[in-house]
Amino acid sequence: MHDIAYLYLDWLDRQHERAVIVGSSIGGWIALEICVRSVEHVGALVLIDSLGVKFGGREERDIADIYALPEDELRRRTFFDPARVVPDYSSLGDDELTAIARDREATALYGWRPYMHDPGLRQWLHRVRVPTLVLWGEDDGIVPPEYGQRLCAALPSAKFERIAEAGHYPQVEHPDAVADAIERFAATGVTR
Amino acid sequence: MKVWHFSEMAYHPAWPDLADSYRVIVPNRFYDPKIGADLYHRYLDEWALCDELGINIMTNEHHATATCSDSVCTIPMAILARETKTVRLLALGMPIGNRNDPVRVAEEYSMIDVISRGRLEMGFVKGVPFEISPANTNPADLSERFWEAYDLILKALTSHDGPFNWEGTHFQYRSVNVWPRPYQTPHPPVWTPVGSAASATEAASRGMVIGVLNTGWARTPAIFEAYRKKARERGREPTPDRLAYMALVGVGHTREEGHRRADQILGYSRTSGIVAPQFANPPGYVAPNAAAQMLKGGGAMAARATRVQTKDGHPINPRTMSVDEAIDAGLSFAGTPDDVYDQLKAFYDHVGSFGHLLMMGQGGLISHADTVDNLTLFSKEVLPRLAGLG
Repeated sequence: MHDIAYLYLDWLDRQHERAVIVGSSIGGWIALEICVRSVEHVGALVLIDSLGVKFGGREERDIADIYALPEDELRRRTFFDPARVVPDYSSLGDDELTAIARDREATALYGWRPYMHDPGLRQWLHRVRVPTLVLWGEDDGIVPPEYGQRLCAALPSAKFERIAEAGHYPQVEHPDAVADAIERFAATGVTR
Repeated sequence: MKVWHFSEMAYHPAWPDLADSYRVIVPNRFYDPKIGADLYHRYLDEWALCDELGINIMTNEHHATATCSDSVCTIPMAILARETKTVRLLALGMPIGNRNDPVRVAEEYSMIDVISRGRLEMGFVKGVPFEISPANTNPADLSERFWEAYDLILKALTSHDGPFNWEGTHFQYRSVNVWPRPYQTPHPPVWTPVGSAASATEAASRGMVIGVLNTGWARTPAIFEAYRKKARERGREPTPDRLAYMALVGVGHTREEGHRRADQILGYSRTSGIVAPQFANPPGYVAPNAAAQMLKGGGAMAARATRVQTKDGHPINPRTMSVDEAIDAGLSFAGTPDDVYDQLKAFYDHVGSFGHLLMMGQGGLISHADTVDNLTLFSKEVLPRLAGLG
């Protein structure tokens, strides 16, 4: 995960403008790993149902174990309306399915242990000194909105907004609502 | 041909209480340690008997499961290293990609080799997919970790000039110095179980003995052939003693008795795959293209369901498989001693010879008395005829 953060930081170094970083789920974790290292080229940060930080005690699970949940429950926790968005895998082409399998493998490689978080990340969150919007699907059963509120409170300059009728990926279930929220935020809160 | 008696030490008393998963998530309140103690002693007695019968011993391990109460394959081996005097002891094996400390594995194996005065055979296994969750090891780099652990263990067992340094990708030690050194020189023989031609090829390039489990009449020949091909490429003659095949064996004084015993042992095959589906294919455990085909075909459980096949290639449901189906599939050799020999010989000819029969002589619900008679009858009536094979 640290390598990915430095990869993006290298890329940000080559940009002419400060960027608005938008990270969803594991992407939110990557965004946080970037920003605790440097916000020199970051204008603002948008975290959507992010993970990556451990708040609870050692016997509490902050982030649902997606590798241990039965498929039906996993879908119910991931989406407000799974029937509308979960694809029929048998109808996808081999290349698309292989890409999905590859993505899942990469997610496991980065997030298996410690599970979907970096134990050292929380203590550096004060370094995320950029305006931050924490967007959360109201019905996220992977990382619940309460986790998002704790994350928001742990960041120096963040505000929290919910997206109604959405689970862990509001940008999939309600792309317009998410885009609107990001645009409103970027119009007012970005450090240029 | 060498014969090895294998049992998973099933904790079958829990089975009637279980439903969708016998593994991973099944609470251990279903395990009664008093019954468990009796079972451990019983299974160990059966292995100890093998010393008198001239049948070698094989253990394995699984975790968090009622199908196998052997969660540490070296523990029964440590006991049997002293209780037995002549037979060889095969641990097949140690899941070294799932264990955090390969040096500790080298120490365990080395101690057993010394206590048994050089009778250990070392198995190294990647482990079935549902071992990933109990071990909490990363499935995406399991293979890489396995081979690094393997290299480190072999080096630890063959280094005799004091500490060496190991700063690898997955394991770091500044002072590897294993005491005792193994009894056998350069080290005990090395085995690995394989289930595909690709993994047979990997094992052949390292000269490991392969144990092929549950692949049957239909899938075994390609695996053995892949091994032979790669071994020859590497300049090693693939002698039959490099190849092992596991079968469930039920011998009886009558065909009915042999079949009844096999039917009880088949409790192993019928329960082994009962696992909550989300644990059946952790991401990265198989290559992306294979995982993609599983997604397309309805998931890992659907893929598992077609693995056992009749001789003419029809899938058999492992959970309801009959003895006749298991015999047809080449998973079981059962009946009178003549039947067992004939089935084994036909299989042997079909796959082009192998040097080890990994005989599940105990499995599922078969009783102690039946197991003892099964092993004894095999030893007296079948084993002598196998001298000419392998």
